[in-house]
Amino acid sequence: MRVKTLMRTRFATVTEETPLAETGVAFAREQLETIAVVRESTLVGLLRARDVETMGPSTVPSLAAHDWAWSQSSLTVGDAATADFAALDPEASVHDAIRLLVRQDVDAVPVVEGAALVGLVTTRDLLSMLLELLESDGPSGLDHVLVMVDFDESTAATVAAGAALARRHRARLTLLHVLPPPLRSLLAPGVPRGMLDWARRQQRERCLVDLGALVPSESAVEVGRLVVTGDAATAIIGTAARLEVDLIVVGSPMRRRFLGPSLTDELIESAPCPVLVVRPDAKAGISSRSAHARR
Amino acid sequence: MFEDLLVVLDGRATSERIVEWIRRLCRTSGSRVRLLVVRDVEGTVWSGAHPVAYASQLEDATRLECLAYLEGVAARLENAGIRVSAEVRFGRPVDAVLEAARDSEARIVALAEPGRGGLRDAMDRLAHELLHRAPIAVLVARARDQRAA
Repeated sequence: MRVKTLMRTRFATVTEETPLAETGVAFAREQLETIAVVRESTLVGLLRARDVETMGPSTVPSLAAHDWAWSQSSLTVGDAATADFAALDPEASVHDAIRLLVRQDVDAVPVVEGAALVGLVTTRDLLSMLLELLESDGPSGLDHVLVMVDFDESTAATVAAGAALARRHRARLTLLHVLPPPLRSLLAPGVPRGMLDWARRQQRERCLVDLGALVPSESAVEVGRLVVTGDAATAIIGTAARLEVDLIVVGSPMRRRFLGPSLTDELIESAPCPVLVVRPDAKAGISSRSAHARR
Repeated sequence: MFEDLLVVLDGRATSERIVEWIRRLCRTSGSRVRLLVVRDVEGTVWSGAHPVAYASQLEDATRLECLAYLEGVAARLENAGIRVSAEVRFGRPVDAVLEAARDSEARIVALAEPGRGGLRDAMDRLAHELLHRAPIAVLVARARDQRAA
């Protein structure tokens, strides 16, 4: 990796004429102990926090009283900056940058093209790069999260949990709503089949619109919407298997079946991936104390 | 929500199936994971009228044994940059888990169930009870017939 891909290009600089008393702001803003000194855009030196300290007033209070006014008004960056420094070329390797940081015992080294200052490589930037490398060597994250939307009291918490996971893992999020199978013979005897199909299509379209409204467009998550008809557990499990999702997120309590296992139990029993069951008030912790356990 | 997790294990390989999923889930979140093993309350062992081993001694021995086991599991998570702590509790599993979740302020309880069908296994029963009683999110993986993490 080259220095030019790692260096920061926006940073504070000072000139030789800057009063030394005013450099504290630049040090604090950059959270660095090394500031570049420039003349026009040419790098002429480095100002290190430790040099500023040695140029400051005496640490003995009785002597500092005499030094203070003088140090505040007379000293400039030019008095404290060092012109003896090494700089990097943008094409230099990251290894060169690390060697230079260690050898010079500083937290930032300048990057120059000719004499012009074009960037700064800091230990903070290098540590961030190291962290990214370490994380990329770890286990892979989630690629696809499926959220079952029932449009009930748990929907907000369920979608929020799924979206948060998808955002964190830069995963695809699919919102699924399952429409129950039509009970044509019971509900609409004599109604033409075409009219029922039309009503079904309308219902499906409305659900797709409602699903789309659940995740704000600015949430930076790739969202897919699905509306399927059939048995809820079968539809969720089938969709999860077909889309090869890594996690199914469902709300709780889910609909109970008459004389059968709950939908949640059935999902956990047969899902092709782990299932996260989210409570409607997922932000609340546990407040009631269970009495039968001890550490 | 995914910063504080309580992971329930029982010492068997089937329950450790959840660990790899936790590694994936927490990959980028800087999460804190608390590992928990719940054991039955020990009773004092008597030989006639004389106690051979007090309940507290037996529990201490069990705790040490379980913590040694959890240390090995913790290392797998720590390698992925996750902060891990471990504890052992005694009592009825679902009560112990809920209390541990409350004490650690966990937002998710995670466990793997053997998935042999029905509620014959203790972890199956625990998962079932947590799904109906836990006031926080529950993550359940199945040890069989489910894609590996």
